[in-house]
Amino acid sequence: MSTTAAEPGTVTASRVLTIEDDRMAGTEIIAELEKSGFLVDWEDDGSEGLARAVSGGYDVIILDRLLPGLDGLTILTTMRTVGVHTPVLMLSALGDVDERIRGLRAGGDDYLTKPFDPDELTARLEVLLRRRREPSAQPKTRLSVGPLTVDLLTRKVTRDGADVALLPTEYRILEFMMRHAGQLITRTMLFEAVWGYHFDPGTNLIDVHIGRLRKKIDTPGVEPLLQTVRGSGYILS
Amino acid sequence: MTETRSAPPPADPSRRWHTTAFRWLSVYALMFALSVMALMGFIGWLVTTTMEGDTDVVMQWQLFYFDSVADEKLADAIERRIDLGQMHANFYGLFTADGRHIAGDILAVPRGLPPDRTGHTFDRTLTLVPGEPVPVVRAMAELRRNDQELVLARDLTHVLRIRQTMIHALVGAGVYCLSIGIASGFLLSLRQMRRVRAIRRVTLKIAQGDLNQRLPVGDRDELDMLAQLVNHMLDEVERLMNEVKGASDGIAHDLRTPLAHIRTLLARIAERTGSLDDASIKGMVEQARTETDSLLDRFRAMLRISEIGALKRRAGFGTVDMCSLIGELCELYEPLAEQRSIQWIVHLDPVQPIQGDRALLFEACSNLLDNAIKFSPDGGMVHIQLTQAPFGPRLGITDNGPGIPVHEREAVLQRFYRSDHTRHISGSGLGLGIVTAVMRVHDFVLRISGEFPGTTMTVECWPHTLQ
Repeated sequence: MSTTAAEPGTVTASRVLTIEDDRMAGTEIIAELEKSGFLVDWEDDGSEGLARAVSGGYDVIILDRLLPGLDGLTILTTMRTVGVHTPVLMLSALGDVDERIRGLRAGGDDYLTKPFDPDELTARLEVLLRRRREPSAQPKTRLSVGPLTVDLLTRKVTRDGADVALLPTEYRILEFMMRHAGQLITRTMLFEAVWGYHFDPGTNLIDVHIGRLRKKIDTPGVEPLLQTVRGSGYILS
Repeated sequence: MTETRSAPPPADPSRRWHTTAFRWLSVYALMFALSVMALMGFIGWLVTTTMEGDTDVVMQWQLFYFDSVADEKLADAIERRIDLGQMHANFYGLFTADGRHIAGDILAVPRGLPPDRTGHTFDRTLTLVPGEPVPVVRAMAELRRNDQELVLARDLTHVLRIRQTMIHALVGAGVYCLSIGIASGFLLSLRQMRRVRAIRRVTLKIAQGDLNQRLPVGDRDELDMLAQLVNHMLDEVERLMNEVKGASDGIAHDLRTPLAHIRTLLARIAERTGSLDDASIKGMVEQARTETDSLLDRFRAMLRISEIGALKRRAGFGTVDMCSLIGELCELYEPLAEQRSIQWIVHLDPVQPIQGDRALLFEACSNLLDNAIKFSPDGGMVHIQLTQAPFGPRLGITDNGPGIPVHEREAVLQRFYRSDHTRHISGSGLGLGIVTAVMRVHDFVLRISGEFPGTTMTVECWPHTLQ
């Protein structure tokens, strides 16, 4: 959804390098990302891709796991070895947990299994870009979104100064949403971040949890903060 | 199913010379015949040497006798012995130092007979008085004190006859063994070939796609054992094929419906683009999108099952506390139950830790809980119970949904199966497929029981094939 890319604060468009050998997938990724306001370069060969990745100038790299010329994992390790720390989102048809761990261990910042929802890709890229734009040098102790405040030390949540009592799971969801305020968070991202598992739990399950949280922070009569983006996920803003 | 061109069939197995039974029996018969012949030969050799030795002893005794006879009376003594010898078993000859005949029926000193009182065999080369048939003899010679040479010879015909008989027996036995061996080898190989041909016929039929065929079994031998192994394999292949067929039918049934919906929606939008207002177009597109999502979900689940099924190694295995895992899951699903006013009863006993892949177990159990909630009526009840059984933890999940009839319980564990009276409930029909795949990786067992209506899914968290 373009709403996320046209977020206030984004002065210049982010540059994305896509290293992907599948022409269909490549075209689709580029179309989707350009629609969301990214500047996209596309490379379909492993060694060429590595050269471009190392030459720098990119804000985020989308890297396919299996490539001709040079394997995705090799590109990633080489990049990290020569000191290029551009965030990398790995794409792979290999969705196995072991593969995911290998990808992340090699220096990947996120891992997405094909086939994926285009919104999912955009949402994850935004998270990576945000992390890059705002390096959390000093750990925050408070998060606020509008009238909503979370004290990370005492785990106290207030809205307009009034305490909101949350269950542990609800608190973890809220904390994650607060950390990524203004960004589209997909159900899968939420499930991965809050519960730590990587399978599809079905749409309804996460909706129910969000529903519970919403009931507590967006009481009737006040302006709702937690919005549902139909078919994609949620935004807290 | 695509027909793939099979490799050219192996060389015609009916060429009898190549059958193992025949080859082995021939070799065996040959070896047996050879060893029989060797044995007989040894016996023959032993008999001949023994009898030759006996003859030598007899002749030596005669020489002792002649030693006691004075030189001048020797010629007479010899003549007397010849006269006495009725059977012509012995021959004698007395010669001067230069080889002239003095007395006896041997007329010349046999060539190559040293006068050292040792026995030598002469094959019909002895020079005897005319009229006597010349037999094979054993001869012995000695020098007298007056330099005359005394030659004794003894007929060996009876010894030779025994030896002849032995040789005949030898050859006869060899030929007999060989022919019996080859004949039985031939017969056995004929029989074996008939069985192999039968197996070949059936195998060709199976290769052509007739999976109902089974190899003939009966005799309890190695061929039979192989046939039974192959039959077992065929059972398994047939089961898998049926599963795949079931899956294809499931795909046809479950995927065609949403696809048809989408198609109808798209056609309607295309037909009435001009006449429809924005809101109704948006609604239709939204509906099409929902249908597409459900299709994608289904495919994702299918891929997931394949992925789990491909997990052979147990790299992700570690110690898992089922109690905390189920606790976490119950917390995850409790809101879903609450939303539909389903009574959520959780009873977790502390259990022994198990070896397993936590993520996979979580996924499998989440499917079971999801199903339990999905199939329970609003305001129903789901009961989750974790207990310690003798071999390991046992997880029971009971719902009061429509239940699974006994005859369908095996089938629901296969991919895509949807009980007829649950077709209206959304879902990929693949949840239990994922559970089964995870159970297979762990060697755990999923059992379905419960009064109909109502279902109890029991997961026995301990390896079953090791027991």
